[in-house]
Amino acid sequence: MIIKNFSYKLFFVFVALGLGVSLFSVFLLSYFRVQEYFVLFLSIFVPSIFISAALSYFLAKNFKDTKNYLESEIEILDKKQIKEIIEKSETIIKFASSGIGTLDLQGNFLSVNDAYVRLLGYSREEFLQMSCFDLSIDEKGKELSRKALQIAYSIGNIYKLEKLCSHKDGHIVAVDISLDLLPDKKTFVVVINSLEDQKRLEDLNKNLEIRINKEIEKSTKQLEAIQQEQLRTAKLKSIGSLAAGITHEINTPLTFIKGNFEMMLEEIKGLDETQSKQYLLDDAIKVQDGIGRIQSIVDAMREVSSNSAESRSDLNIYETIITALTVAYNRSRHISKIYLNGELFDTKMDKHKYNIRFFGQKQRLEQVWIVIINNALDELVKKDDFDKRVLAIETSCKDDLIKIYFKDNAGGIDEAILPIIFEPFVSNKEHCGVGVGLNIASNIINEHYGIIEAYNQKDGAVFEITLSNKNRKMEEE
Amino acid sequence: MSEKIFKVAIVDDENEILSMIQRFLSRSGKYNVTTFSNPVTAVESIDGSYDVVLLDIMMPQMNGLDALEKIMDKNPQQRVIMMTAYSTLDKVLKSHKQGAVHYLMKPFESLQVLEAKVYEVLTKC
Repeated sequence: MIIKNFSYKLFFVFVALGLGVSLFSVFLLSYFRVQEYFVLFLSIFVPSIFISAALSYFLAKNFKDTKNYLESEIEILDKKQIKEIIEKSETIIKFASSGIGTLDLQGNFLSVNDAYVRLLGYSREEFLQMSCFDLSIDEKGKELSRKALQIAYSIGNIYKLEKLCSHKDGHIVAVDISLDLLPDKKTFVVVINSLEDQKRLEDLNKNLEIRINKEIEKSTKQLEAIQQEQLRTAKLKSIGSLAAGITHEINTPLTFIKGNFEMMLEEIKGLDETQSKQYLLDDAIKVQDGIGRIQSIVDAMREVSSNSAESRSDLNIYETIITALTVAYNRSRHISKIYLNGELFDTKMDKHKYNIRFFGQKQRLEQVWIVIINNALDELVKKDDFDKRVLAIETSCKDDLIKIYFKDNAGGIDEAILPIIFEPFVSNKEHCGVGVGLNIASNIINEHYGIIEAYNQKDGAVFEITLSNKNRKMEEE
Repeated sequence: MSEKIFKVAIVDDENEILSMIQRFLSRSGKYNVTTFSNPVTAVESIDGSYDVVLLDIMMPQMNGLDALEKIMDKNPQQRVIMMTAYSTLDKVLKSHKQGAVHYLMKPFESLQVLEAKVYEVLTKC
């Protein structure tokens, strides 16, 4: 309750008296038949006088109390709020990053905040002994300050005036100054900011913008790469399925075309020597060549499509080479000895003797090794003596760098085709192959962020493959 | 002394291939060739009497690998050469693990090479 001193008891006593007199007069009127005017006087005027007096007295008294109370309360609240506002303002000024101070109309410092002190090097006490003109570096600067004060006085403010000030230690500080004339028209508020800080901030913002743009660009590129990879995988998957189906469908009739043609050719050769026989043989060579080409294209298509969409996994390179050698063993055992890390290859070799970890597509890498092994075998078979034919495979892993060497002693690759050995349709073979095997191998290695090189050494060819998990991570980043 | 005649079973769903290999191998007189165009019938019929079985991998009625498993279950010593026009390394390796002694890729390098491989398997494996 705001009105604390209100006397309810006295107020009700007066009201009760008024009502009592009124009731008494009614009683007299009805019971004793007293004269009417007297009763009217008693019943209306006497109580009214009592009640009015009571109300006037107490209302007057309590209005005064209320007014006094409210005034005192408002006064307390105002003082408190003003104190809080002042404290807040002082805190803001104290910790503001801009230099804030006050000047009298002559330009003498009345106060400065911490930022002002930091910016120009003078202490607060020193500032209070100085005028704003003392900070100018020359007469021109002083004149500029004077004009600024005049303008601020006449129009009320001046914003972002760029000026050179003298720091206490002698160096020059470029600042922008804003002046505001306070309503009392006796004080200026001066705000200064270092232009160097502003420049630094601008540079930071600029760098930040560049960084953000780079990050956006990087993310966009990554997203595009992921989308392209997904699209490529989906495409390859569908192409792979299609190619596998086509390969099978073509290979089946090709098998009996080729086989029957072989038998037909033998029968032609058995015919008597006539002009017709010669024509048949000439045509047969062309047909045979055509069949060979179809077969090579189908083989290439199969190799290109199969497993290119295979997912990557952690694998052991040594194990993949053993697998490739096992697949090629039916052929290789009749052609050449194969050494793996100095050990004569045998299908019972321990696949885990060496542990060379790599993240890649297992079957595709196996395909690469098979292509290289078969190429070597194609050349080695030309050497007369089985005992002199050698294919040596060596693996090594150092500092996350995996090296695989396939070295044969079949005489080497023709120097003319060596620079283009990994290009499609380049072949060292005279009678077979369309020259896509090494191109496929090269593509697979490239897709694994590796390097494949071919060169001649001593009496044979060397295929050197370099793989690295680090390369893959860098590429992905 | 007469030379031994080898009993050869060929299982392939393509009749043209069956007749071609049968014709080629039979010419030399060294082989007695039986052909099966249905692998289910082949699995039922092939017992220990065949010296070698040429078995295709891709067949509609029964996968060649499943047929191989059944044949090897009946006779673990059975010599089987797989034939495939749809080569995937995993299938070749799988058949090797299941006991196949050799595999031939379609189209064959030549029928002479095919015969040489068959003969090699018969005499060396």
